Amino acid sequence: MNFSNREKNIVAAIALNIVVSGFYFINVLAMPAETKLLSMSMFTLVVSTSVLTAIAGLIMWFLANGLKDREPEDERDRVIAAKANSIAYSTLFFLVIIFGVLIAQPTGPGVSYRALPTTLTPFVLIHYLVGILTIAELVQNSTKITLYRRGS
Amino acid sequence: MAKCAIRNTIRTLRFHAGEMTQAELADKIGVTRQTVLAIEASKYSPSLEVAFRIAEVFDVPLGEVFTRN
Repeated sequence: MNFSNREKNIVAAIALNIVVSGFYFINVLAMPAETKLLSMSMFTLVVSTSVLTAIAGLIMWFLANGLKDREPEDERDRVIAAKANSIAYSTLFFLVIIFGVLIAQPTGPGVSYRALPTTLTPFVLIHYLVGILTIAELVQNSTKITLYRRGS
Repeated sequence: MAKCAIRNTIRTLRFHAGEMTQAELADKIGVTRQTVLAIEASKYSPSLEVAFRIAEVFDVPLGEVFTRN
């Protein structure tokens, strides 16, 4: 497939997002729900994720652009960015509402099913929100690449 | 309101302008080659500013570049 420079950059951003968030969430899932947000294990994870983001970001940038400068944005790029942002914000809003409804679900005797785990510690809550933000970013970049590929 | 399709004659105008490339036209009107490609394929409707710049490049009235179906 023949990709323009702009499309290559978006694919690189999607790949970076998947690699970095994959690394982060695999590590988070291995931690107990009672982990403190201000702890050595979280600090180590955040630092290693930042280093991975910088290194993977540089590699993706060179793979997508080589030594060329980035093309300046034009009106179509801005239209596509606006559409993608609008869809990403709608996704974010929708997922946050769903999350809020699931948190408000009653617990205790007589409740046979609960979508979220009962141990909703700050660590778990924060990571649900980080997950939602990651999904919204993926939706934004996927929308952009779809619109560019369609030629709209 | 029904969306009306806009056709254009950019490919023909480029041909009559000595086979001007999409990249050359893009440079003259200040957009990327991909945008010219999308406009030419009628997949993207440009702003009035860009539409007028295209007409100026080929030295023709706007109505000769873009027509309604």
